[in-house]
Amino acid sequence: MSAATLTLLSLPIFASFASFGVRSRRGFAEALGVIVGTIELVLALFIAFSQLSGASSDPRAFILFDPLGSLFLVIICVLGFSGLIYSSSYLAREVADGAIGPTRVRQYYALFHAFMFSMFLAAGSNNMILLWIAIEATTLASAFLISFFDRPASIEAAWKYIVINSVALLLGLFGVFLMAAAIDRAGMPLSFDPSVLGGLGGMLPAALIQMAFVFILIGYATKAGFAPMHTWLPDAHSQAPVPVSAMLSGALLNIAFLGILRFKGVADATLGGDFAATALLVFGILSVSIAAIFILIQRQYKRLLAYSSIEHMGLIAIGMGLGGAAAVAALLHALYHSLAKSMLFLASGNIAHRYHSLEIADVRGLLKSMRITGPIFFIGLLAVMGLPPFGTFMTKFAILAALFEQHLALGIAAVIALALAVAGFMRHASQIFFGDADGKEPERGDLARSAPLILLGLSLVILGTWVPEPLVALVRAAAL
Amino acid sequence: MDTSLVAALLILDTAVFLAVVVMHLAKKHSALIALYAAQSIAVSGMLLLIAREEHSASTYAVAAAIFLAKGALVPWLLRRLLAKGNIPATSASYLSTPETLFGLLLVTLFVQTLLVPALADLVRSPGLAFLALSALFASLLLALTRKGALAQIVAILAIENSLVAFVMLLGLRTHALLEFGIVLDILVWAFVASAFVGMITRHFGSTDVTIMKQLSE
Repeated sequence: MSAATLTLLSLPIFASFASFGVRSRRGFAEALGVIVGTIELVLALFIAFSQLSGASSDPRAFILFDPLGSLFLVIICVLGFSGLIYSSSYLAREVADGAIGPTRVRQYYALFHAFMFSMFLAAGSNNMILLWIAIEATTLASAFLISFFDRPASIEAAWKYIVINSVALLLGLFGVFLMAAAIDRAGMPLSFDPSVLGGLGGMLPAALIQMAFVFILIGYATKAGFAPMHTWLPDAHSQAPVPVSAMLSGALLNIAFLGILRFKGVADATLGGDFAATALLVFGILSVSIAAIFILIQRQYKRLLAYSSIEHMGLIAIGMGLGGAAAVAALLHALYHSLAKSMLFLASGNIAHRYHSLEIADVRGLLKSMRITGPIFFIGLLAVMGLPPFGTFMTKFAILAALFEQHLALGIAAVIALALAVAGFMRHASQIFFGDADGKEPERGDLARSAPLILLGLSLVILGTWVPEPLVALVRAAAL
Repeated sequence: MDTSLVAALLILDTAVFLAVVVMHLAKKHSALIALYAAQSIAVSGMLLLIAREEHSASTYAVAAAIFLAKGALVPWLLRRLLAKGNIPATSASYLSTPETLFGLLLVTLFVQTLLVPALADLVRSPGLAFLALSALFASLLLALTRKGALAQIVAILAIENSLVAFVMLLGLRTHALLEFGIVLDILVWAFVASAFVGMITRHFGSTDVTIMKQLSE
């Protein structure tokens, strides 16, 4: 393990214990969060781009950040960095409003860092069983964050999250063990490295690998929020503190999807590409369709964002199922979606504080009443709708073009569902942005509250029009 | 595997399966916890037998860890929760007893006709695999049909126990650290889930999850 990887994995553990253990004012945990978040982001970028220099690594190592893991690592760290900056202002307001006591702030940061660690571990896991342990650990680390406000609704959401995901992940573990036993019997290591997977062709019993993959898919697809196992997601994402919602939606769903992609590699090496691809297409179309209906009828804006995440995960699954250029587009889409959704969730925190409501019907004239958050929320909604000039437009177009080329009927179904979702967003956006303002004093600038939104918004706009060559190379390598 | 080892594993594997069947019929939380403890001890016993056959120090250590964590610590935690948490003594099921028995019959038929034949080449003994997999899917049925949060915890832990009983039959060689990692995950899971049972009781005045309707759409 490289020094950078070791430092990256150690930092959140240290920060978690330090945040919880140091009984000073909450400023220590806040400052530590921002410092650690910054270092983690720098390390993630270093690890990701050192991949491209072709540094050699042991394919049997338990921890190995390949291009795919590195791409998701960078996304986690960008979102973690912005979330940690936003958290200080957000929690200060929650303390001031009496929603939480000052001592809870230290618990929040301790759990946030533990959650980051579990996602880092999952992104870097190069062992089938370690990956399961890490993904299960993400559930444990985030459960108390979802119930953080200790309200009946948040407890209900967290309980649903734990029970549904734990049962699903245990079924996934059953599949992992079946696949691992077959690979172990063939004398191969339980690694995801392409050099190992390349040697699996024809060595494993196809029927067994099919069965194992189905169980693995049930487990990780539940965690990734695919319909029809998505029922925990809107509840958890809407009840968690907004920086956590941003992480759940922008980072954790990707990590669970990474689990599917890792095992898709094993299934493809054994069965050829069709079996796993078909499964991803089915889950993808189902997720886009079901999410579109709920987007249309939604009454709460945080739940609206949560259902939009299901829609986008469906689209990403379709792209990865199709492979080739669509897979490259799907990974870029994952990046754009994470940035946009994280920005939207953070903005929703500002909106909730202003309007004291999560109901869409209670928010009016947002562009006038919130002169920073309003336009940012508007930009974010355009991006998640997949409209030009945002990168999501191009990636969505590329995925749909490939879908039409390969499966015309599914392409038509996907376009209808996506049009329905856009119609739903338009309907809600017209209410939120263009009504009369609430008559209160317009929003004043607050650096901690606005800076992460602006940072994410700028990244989204810039990356939508110009993708730096190293990032293109990383995404291409990850899609292989 | 020699016949005496298979016979000993068969006894313990049967205990793992029967524990789940009795869990389905038991309504009292204290009985569910006791059955889970017994099932965990049976699982650690199976692992101990495998460790003796393989002369594996790391497998002995994992068996000891499972015995301590799941046979002693988790049942103690759940009993403590029951004693201190103002939790009702029993938990209801969505199914009547005849429906439960019919469900168990379907589960065992599914395992016997679909799963065991598909896994015949992979497992050490199809008979043992049948028992472990039946226990696994019967535990899943328990998790899906119980209304009480505490009973759901026990059911999920029983799924994991059954899974461990099954994995032993695969002869899978993994690093001991990974096996400890799974045990630790489950232990932490039990603590987290128990804390939530306390919170559910505090907020809703019951562990019955059907009364949690704050988030209905």
